[in-house]
Amino acid sequence: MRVFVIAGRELKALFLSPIAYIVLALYFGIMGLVWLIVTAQQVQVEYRLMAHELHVFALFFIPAISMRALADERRTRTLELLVTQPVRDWEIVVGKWLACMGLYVVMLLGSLQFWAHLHVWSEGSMDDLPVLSAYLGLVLVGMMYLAIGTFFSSITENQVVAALLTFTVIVAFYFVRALGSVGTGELQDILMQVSTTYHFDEFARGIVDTGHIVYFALGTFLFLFMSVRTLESRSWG
Amino acid sequence: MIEVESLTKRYGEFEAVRDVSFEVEKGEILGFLGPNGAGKTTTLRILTCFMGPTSGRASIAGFDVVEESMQVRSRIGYLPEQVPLYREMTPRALLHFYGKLRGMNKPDRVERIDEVARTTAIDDVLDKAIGKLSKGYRQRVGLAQAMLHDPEVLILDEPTVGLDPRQIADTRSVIKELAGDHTVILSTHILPEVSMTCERVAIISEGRIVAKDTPDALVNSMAKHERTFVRVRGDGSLERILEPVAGVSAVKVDRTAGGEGRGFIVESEVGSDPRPRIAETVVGSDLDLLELRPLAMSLEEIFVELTTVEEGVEA
Repeated sequence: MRVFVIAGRELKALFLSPIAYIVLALYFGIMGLVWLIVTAQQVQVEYRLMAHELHVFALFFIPAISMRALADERRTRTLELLVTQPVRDWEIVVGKWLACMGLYVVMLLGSLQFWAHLHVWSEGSMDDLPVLSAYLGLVLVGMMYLAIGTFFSSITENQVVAALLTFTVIVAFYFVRALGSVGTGELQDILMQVSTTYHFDEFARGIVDTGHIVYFALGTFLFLFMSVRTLESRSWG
Repeated sequence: MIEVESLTKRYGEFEAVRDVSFEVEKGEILGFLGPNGAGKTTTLRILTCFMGPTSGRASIAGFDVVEESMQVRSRIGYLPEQVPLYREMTPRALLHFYGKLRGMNKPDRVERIDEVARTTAIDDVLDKAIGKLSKGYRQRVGLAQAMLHDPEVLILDEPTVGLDPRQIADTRSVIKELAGDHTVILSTHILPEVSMTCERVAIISEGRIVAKDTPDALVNSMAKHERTFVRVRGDGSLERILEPVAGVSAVKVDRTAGGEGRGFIVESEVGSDPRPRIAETVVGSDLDLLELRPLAMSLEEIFVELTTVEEGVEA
């Protein structure tokens, strides 16, 4: 499968560049600090609290993971050689996005250590299912944010521009529900439905609902589709 | 094998390529010659399906570059201008990557990588990071990449830029060996490259094809006048003696001619061949005839003529 050939190369490139290590080191460093602060304040740590923090971290780290995906190919002009191979544009986009997901999942797996701590501390009284659903939510929200990042990486050859635009848009998706508090009725409802926080919180509460899964799947598809169209636009007369 | 029909590419107001048409037969090497910015790269990018034309059509092995782009791409090997390669990879990993994308299985890839590495003389750097290689090596890694899947058609954009003379000679012989089994388009702004490697040449200037033929035929048909080099000894004026001779249109002093006596270039109308009359006239005068030989117009002169005439028309 050519998608996986592209994803594999991209993931290797991420780990051959300093980016993956800086992202991982910062992520685990900051997460550890937050963990210390949270556990110092509360004896009984609710795991879903950590899930919210992991969601906030994703806002900051995802732009750094996805910024190079296509922007760097444009800058170094390797894109020309890639798109002239017998490879479909969607395979390139999905391959790049999958590689970003790979690094993101490594980060999430690392954060499982906190769950392990909690599990041991609670001496078996902890309900593990909400943790699983929270992680499902984190994977889903990451899918959508990385699709947004892949899209912005496809429209520029400047990685910093790609990262800033990604950050702006995913923060907008995060905060749009808060905006709803100024509106009433229908507007409030629409803003809530659009926001990622609304859908994510359900997962953090231990609720797995098909509707929320569909929301993230659609969001991911939409931005990946837009990336494919951007890549295709080079060949429009 | 390659058919290009009134291809036009416009960027806003600017026409990078206008109404370009040419064909390349199977097994032929076509030299695509033109000054920088003439539209060579744009044309090649359309042929390799990197971008679409504004109008016109092109096909490779019978497949349309827009409609059947996957079939086209699987049949060509492409060396883009300036050879963009992933710097963090080794040539071996890079060749495996492109081989995998082209659906080659592992034993095939190992065998072909071995072959192309030997042909392009990169076998001693296969496991070094590409970013650490010299320009010459990177250029040849790019060429190895284009040849990896043994494509029917090779499209090489300035394949010898940045190489030293020895590497240039090697690369040219690699390209020449490809002819017969492979169809090659090679773009260049270096003239000797065309006369040395290509069977046919298309000259492009300001987005338009201004001439296409074999290098020799081009030289013959383009010559506006025949020229003869004449060397004489003595003080008399050769200009005055030769001007009345039938067919002679101009006599110019050749300042580049060193050696004994004085050198002149005699221009005459095409087909008039006034050499016997020149000889007779000089011998009959008080000058001594030391040398008399025909001068062929070089491809370089034709190139300059064609590309400058074109600019004149535009101005």
